[in-house]
Amino acid sequence: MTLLQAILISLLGYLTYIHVPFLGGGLIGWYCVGRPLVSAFFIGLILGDVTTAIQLGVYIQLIFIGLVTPGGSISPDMNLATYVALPIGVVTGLDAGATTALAITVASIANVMAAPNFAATMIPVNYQKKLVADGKLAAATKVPIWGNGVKFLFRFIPTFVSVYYGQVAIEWIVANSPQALIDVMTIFGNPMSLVGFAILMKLMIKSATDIIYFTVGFALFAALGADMVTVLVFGLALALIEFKVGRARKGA
Amino acid sequence: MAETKLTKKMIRKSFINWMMYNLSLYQPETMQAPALVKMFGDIREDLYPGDLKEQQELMARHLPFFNTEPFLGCIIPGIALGMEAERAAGGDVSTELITAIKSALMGPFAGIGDALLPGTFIPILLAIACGLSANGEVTGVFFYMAIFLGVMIPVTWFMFTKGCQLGASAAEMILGNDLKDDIINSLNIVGLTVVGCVAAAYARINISWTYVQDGVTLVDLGALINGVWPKLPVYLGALGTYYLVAKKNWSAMKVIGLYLIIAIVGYFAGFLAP
Repeated sequence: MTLLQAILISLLGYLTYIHVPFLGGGLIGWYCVGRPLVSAFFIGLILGDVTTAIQLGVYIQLIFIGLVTPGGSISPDMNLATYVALPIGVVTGLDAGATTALAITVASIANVMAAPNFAATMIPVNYQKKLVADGKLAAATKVPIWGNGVKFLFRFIPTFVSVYYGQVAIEWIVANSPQALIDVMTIFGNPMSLVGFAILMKLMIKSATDIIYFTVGFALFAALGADMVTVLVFGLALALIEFKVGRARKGA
Repeated sequence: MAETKLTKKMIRKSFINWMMYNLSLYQPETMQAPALVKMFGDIREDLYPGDLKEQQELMARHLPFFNTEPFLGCIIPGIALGMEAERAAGGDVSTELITAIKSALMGPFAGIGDALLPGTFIPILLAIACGLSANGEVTGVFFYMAIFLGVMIPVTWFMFTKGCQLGASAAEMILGNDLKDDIINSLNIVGLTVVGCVAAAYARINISWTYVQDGVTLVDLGALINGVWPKLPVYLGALGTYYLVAKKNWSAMKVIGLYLIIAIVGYFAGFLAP
C-alpha cells in the first residue's frame, strides 16, 4: 500500500464516521458510504482491486449487520474495523475468516478511544456556550463546523497508523506463523457473522415462535438452494399475511 | 397554520443544517444540542432581524441537552422550527412549550427511529445487498446506495417539513397511529426470513471428525450431520448464539471470546476444520 493510498483510505474512514458532517451528514456518510459493504467498494477503488475488497467487505458487513448505536452507548467500532481490517486484508491476501477475526480485534481495541474522544469534544461545545453567552452569535454558529476537527484527530490518525504500519506487521505474522494459528483464526472467523445476526434476531423476535421465519429463510437457501431475491419474495408474502391478520384483529 | 415568517428557503437551509451537523459535536453532556444551535443560528436574522437580544435568547434556549434518532426523529427539529417561527411572528407560543415538546418527543422518536432504521430497514437492505455482491460484484453496493438514499432522503424531508407545518400535532399523527405496530411486525418477518437465508449463505462451521479403521472411513461426522439437514451445524450455531445474546444477555465480546475458545479446542481436538 502506498503512502497516498493509506492517506486516502484514512480520510474516507474519517468522512464516513458516525459524527462527521462533511459527506452530507450521517444519512449519506455513516449509514450509506460508511456501511462496510459500500466502503469496500471505495476502498477497492483506491487499492485497485474492487472485487477482492467487496468479497471481504461482505463478511465484515455481516458481523455488523445488526449494529444499532443508541445515544450515549459505546458500541463496537465498526468504522475503524472496516478501514483497518479491510485494506490490510486486501493487500496481504487474507481470507474471509482471518479478515473478520482482524476486524473484530480492531473493533474491540478501538473502544478505548471513545471516552477521550467525548471528553475532547467538550472543548468546542463549551466554547460554543461561551460564544452564545457573549453574544458572538455568528461565531457560535460556526463551531459545529470546525469543532469536528476533534473527531478528525480521533479517526484519521489511528486509522492511518494502523493501516500504514499494521500492514507490515500483518504481512510478517502471515509469513512467519505456523499453519495451526492461521487455521484456528479461520475457524474462529468463519461463524462470526452469527453474532451480528443474533443481535438482529434479538430485536426482531417478539415470541419464540417467530424463530420459524428465520428457519424458513435458512431452509430455502441451505436445503433448496434458493437465491436471496426468492427468499425475499417468500418473506414479503409471509409479512403480508401477518399484516392483514394484524389489521383484521384490530377491526381495521 | 398560524402566521409565520418561514420561507421555503429557510426550511431547506435548516433541513440541510440538521441533516449534516446533528452529531458533529456529539458528546454525553448535551448530545445533539450544538446542531440545533447552529440550525437556529443560521436563520436568526430571518426570525428576529436586527434584534440581537432575541437572537441570543433563541440560540441560548437550544443549548441544553437534546438527543433523538437524528433521521426519522428530524421531525422534532422540524416542529421546533415551526414553533420558533410562529413565536417570532408574534404568535402565542411560550419558550417553555417549545422546550417541553422537544423533551416529550425525543425519547419516543429515539426508540422508533433506532428500531426502524438501523434495526430493520438497513439490515434487510444490507442482507439483500450482500447476497447480490457475494462474489465481489458491485451490484449489491449500487443497489444499497440507490434504494437507501432513494427512500430516506424523501422520507426525512417529508418528516421535517410536516413537523414545520403541523407543529406538535404532526408527532401525534405518527405516534398515535396503530398502523405502525402492524408495519413493524410485518417488516420483522421479512427481516428474519432474509437473515435466515444470509446466515445459511455466509456462516461456516466445518465438522471434521472422522473415525477411520484400517484405512476405511467408518464415520464422517460432518457428512452425517449435514445429511440430516443441510448446514445443520450453522443452524444450531445461530440458535445457540441467539440464545446467549437474547436470553442470557451475553455481550457480543463475550460470545466472541467463547467462539475463540471453541475454535482453539475444536481444532486441536480434531473436531473443526477451516
